[in-house]
Amino acid sequence: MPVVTEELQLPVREARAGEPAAWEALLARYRLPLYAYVYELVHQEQPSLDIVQESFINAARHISTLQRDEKFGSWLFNIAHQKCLQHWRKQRPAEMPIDPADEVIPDLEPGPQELLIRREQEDAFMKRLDQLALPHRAVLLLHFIEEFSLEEIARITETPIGTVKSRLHYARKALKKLLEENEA
Amino acid sequence: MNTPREIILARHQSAEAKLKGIRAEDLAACARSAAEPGLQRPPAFDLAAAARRFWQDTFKPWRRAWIGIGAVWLGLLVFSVATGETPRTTAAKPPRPDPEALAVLRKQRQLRAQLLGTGEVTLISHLQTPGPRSAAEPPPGRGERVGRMETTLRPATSAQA
Repeated sequence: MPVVTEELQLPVREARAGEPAAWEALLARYRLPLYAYVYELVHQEQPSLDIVQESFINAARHISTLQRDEKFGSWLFNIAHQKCLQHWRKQRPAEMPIDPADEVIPDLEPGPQELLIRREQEDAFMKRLDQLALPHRAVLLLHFIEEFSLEEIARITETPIGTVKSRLHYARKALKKLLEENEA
Repeated sequence: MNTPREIILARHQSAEAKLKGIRAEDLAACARSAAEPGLQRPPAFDLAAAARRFWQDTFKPWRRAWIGIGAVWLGLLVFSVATGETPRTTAAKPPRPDPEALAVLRKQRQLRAQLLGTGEVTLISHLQTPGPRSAAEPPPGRGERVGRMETTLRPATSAQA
């Protein structure tokens, strides 16, 4: 099982000092997950590449404002998330997603690793993921890709933690339903 | 069996080559230049960010108060439109002078002009009712003065010729 969160070992302090090796390490760690996240929201290759690049440049410019080094990942994803929203508003201003009504959420949610998908279900899983509304997709992707906590997802998406919890629950339920339907 | 993370990352593995185009040296240079206070540029004014800040700092916390003020304003506007009251900003025109009083004044001034000399005649003339310019007679003193000027000027022009 791959360990996703190893922020404590990340050379953020060295990156702040402008060491190329430190930035190389941060790029190697985050460029692909960040691209995957951005692409799954934007669904266009070149804009996704541009957003990832701009996010890293922004991070480099403002890394002196980052107070807690271990939060570099969620901070970087927040920059990218805001750029995705800007892109979305430019492209489809009339189609901004609407949240479904909040539901009563159980206290304990299973972790992302507990959801295992068979190879033949992968395409259906990705298809269903694409069908989710943007806020739900964003929350679920952050949960799956980086295993961010609810607090971190709330910070990245700049939404209340209750909303994040509700969206995550809704999105997981929708995915689970699909996988069960496929199995039957 | 794969985890969602593995599936999602595998789907985008082909983009890795393009993502390697982002150079660590450039990012390090950006970080270095931002760290040096002398080289830092002042942040550009962002209208959208300023509007968002204004909304969040000024309007949002006092939403009900602003809505209340807006409602009061609207009520006052409706009331003023309904009652038809308009502000009177134009100054009232001065009342026309009484013709009898004018006649008395004119008479007094004519009398004073006769007593003092010709200089006062022009002052009286503007109180008279204006008629066509061709019909107007030149004031008695003025014609004499012009005549005097002509007689005094003639020798000068003839001397020049």
